[in-house]
Amino acid sequence: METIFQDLRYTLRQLFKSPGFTATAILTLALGIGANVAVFSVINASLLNPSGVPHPDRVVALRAKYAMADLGNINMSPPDFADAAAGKNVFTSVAVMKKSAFNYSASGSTPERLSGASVSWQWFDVFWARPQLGRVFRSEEDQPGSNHEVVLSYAAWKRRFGGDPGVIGRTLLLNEESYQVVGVMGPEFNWPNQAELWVPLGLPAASYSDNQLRHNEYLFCVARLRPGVTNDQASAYLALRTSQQIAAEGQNSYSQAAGWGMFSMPLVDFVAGDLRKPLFLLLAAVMSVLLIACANIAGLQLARASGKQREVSIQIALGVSRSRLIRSALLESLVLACAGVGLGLVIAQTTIPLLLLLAPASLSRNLAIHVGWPILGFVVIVGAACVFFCGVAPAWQMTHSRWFQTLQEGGRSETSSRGRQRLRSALVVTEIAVAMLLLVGAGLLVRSLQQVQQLETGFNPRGLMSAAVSLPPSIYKTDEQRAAFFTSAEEQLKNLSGVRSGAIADALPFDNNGGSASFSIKGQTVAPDSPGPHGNIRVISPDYFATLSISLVRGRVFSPQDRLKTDRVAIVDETLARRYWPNEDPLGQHINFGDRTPWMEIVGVVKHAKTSSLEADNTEGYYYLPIAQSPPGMASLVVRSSGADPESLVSSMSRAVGAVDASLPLYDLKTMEQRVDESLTGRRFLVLLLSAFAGLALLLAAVGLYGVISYSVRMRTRELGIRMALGAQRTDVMGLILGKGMQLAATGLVLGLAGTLAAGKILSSLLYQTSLLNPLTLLTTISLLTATVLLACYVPARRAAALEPMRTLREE
Amino acid sequence: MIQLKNIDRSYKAGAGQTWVLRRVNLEIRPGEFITVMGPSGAGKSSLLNVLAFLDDQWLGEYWFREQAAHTMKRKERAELAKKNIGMVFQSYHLLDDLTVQENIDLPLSYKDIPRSERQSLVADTLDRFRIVAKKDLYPSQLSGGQQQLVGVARAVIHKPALLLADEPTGNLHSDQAREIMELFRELNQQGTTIVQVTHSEANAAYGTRTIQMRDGWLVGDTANPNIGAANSAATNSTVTTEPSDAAVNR
Repeated sequence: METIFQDLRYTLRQLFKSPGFTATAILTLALGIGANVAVFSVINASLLNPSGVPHPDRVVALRAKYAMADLGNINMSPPDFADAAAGKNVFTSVAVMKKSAFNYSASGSTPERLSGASVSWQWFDVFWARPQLGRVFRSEEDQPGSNHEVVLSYAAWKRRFGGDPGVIGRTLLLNEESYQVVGVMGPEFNWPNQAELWVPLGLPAASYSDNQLRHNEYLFCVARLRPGVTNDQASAYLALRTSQQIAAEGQNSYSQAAGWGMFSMPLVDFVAGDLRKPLFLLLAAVMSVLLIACANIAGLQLARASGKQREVSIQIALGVSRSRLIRSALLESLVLACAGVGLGLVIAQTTIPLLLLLAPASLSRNLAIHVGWPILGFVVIVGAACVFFCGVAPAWQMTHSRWFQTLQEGGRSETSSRGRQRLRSALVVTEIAVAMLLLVGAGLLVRSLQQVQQLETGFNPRGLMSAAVSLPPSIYKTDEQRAAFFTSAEEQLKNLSGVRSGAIADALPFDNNGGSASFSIKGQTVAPDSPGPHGNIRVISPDYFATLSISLVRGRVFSPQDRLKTDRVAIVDETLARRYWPNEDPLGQHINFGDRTPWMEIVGVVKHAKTSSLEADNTEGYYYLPIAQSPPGMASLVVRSSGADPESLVSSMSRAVGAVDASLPLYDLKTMEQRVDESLTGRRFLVLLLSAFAGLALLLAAVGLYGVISYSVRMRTRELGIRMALGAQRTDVMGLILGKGMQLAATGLVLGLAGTLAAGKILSSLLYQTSLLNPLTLLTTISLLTATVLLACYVPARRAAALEPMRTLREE
Repeated sequence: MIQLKNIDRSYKAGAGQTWVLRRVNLEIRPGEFITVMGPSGAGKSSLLNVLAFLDDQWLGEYWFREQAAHTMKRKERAELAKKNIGMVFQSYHLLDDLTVQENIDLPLSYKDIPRSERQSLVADTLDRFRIVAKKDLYPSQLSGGQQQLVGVARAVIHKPALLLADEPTGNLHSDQAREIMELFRELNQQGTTIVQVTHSEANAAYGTRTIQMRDGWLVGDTANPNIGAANSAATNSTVTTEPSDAAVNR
């Protein structure tokens, strides 16, 4: 023990004696460790241990699919939920949720919108969420007419009620109806999406067994697996219920033809969605950066070991054991790693909010990052890896040096120096290869982003401002009432000063709302093995196409004369028309939603507009219905500015809606450009972070290369002096040193390219119309790397060229 | 061939200056075999470095084949040296990682000579120095004498007019030393002007002229007996004269 403290004291003294080396090593490690902890924290909070969900590995999302309609992962219907809930041997609890918005009117203040969810009474049981105050819902409260209780989130309770414990039992006016506060959740639970409150769903019991609702999937379903049951077993159970249902429906049923089915997936996978792969890619990238940092420090320590060679040789001659030498080398790495971890945690703490700011809302709004055991465990593992990677090379070199020869040569052994130099060169080649891999990856993703950004949306988002409004069902009970509201609201919007046109729709492109539905075509029989026609459905006001600048191809758009009591009409887009009327004119054709619904005549064909993604394959077409004939309970308003900044129209839009109903607040206020831009957040998040990590990798590799070349110049002083004495010009010497750097860079570059090809499968899945060997990206990356390498080698090369041969040779 | 006029060379040592060459005036004629002798620290190697253009921080005038080297830029001097001067070192200064053949080729690689011509020159030199059998060996596989033989071969491969040798036999035993000195004599007889620095009287006997140095001063020259008297007096003088009238070479 005493020797350990003695070694530790000695190590600290050595480190303090070399402040430049110590500071560089600690800062390099801290950057690597900080970036790793930050990315891992996000992964931990999103994929491994989401906040407020104990044992997240046991919570699953239950989903439905229609294989024949390209719908692979959608919500469930009430009967689906009932089927799942019947699996008592598989799930301990199953619950459903429907996102809801509530207009909250506190006495004497303007109405505001609260985000929340209508949930079945088992919701909190699935998440093992316990209330901080009061209680959660009882089964009898999850009934139509009895569902007027509310559970507040911790944040809403603090913000809107000042954390008053007396809030339990108070009555809140939500959507113009009275709700009694029965509980307040703890701060850790806010599912879904930072909900401010929860109310009971209150579906009629009959709806769970009504097979007419089987394919009306609007409920998000979650369940907690029984101990010992796996996700695969849950999926197998749902597959069994699926086949039982199909069998019950008989041959040639819609369910069978559409490839309908139910399945289970881990909740964390559902939440991470498309970001799962990018997140792990980022973790791999940031770990590579740490590897480079460790290689750099190992290289620096090897250089230091050269200086200490005589000292170590004397120690060996005096009988020190190899294990003690190894311990002393690892001790230095341990001290550096500890300091690096400390500073790295500070860097991570600063970086995490920035990461969340850059992350897509779908990811960041569910995240609450706490430093818990998983993160601390990760830090310990990373720290230990640093100690190993930084210390193993110097330790090996120290214990394998030819000490006897070193002593004889007075401290200079060219053979072992060359060995070190080779090892350091290998480390730098690895660094350059990893940096190249990251740079190419980042470059390809940048290129992909550029490709996606150039895609057309199908409408003109510039100059459009949008917002949402929710009509309380207690006030707007009938279709007539809602239709009247929308007609008046559209009039108000159109007449606003600074507004060229205005429209209302149940959902807007890129607002992540809106649904899709199957329909029937009059006169067309559906083949037994076909699910029938299906498309995205939107309910719109007459000026919708004009406001969004979606071109009319044939026929007409909706008019104010298309009212609730007039003939039903519809408009289809070109994609839908091509798919279901490939050889005929859709105008004049009729569609409906089944036998009990009226036929709607297709009166117009418009251009296709994208729904939620610029890059997605838009095989699914749209059909539009007049808002007056199918008025929704929630709708989006959109206005086109006549020139001014569209965001300046927010207050006048509020006034326009207020003029129709002063109790209705507007929410989700965004320009359409923002909405389109947000659809790229995930891709941009990956591009930004990978570029940052690639930049960091390049910087560290350049530092490493600089170190190796400087060391090489020091070791080759004699050789360079001789060369100059024999006629080498200074430019020859510079060329020699730069050539050495370029040789290392070229090797690293080739290895990096090979790595890129090896990682091709993962990378390709994240690219859009960009080849792995995109010439522009490769050329840019190689140029950037070459320029950096030349820069890193220039200073030592200049130093080499300035050597005085006479002095060099005399010193020999 | 060479005229040195009032060459001074000093180094900074703390607050003062240490003079290693003092007002050296020397004329070297083509075909001479000059031996520079003197005790350690006399300035022999410094003089050789000045002659070789390895040092360019001296003051004074240096005329090389009627060309004023003291007014030349560093690069021009390096070109001059590359074409006309060969160097042989006491510790051979062969590059460890290059074979004998590659070491010999080294000076040619810095000249604008086609590869085929270089190969032919190297082959001729290997043959001339009778080291063909050793062309693929590395310096560490050779004896000291063989290494110096390679060093001389490397120094003369580009047929320099002036060969400078700094204690070329200092690390060799007498048989090997004799062999090298015979080689120098042969080269001299073939027309190469040689300036060697040595402590050995036996080696000096191979030369045609000997100059003596002490404390940076040229104190004896067998070709000019008057130099000894004048400079000996200066050596013993306590007065330090600054070289105010000398050209400054950069």
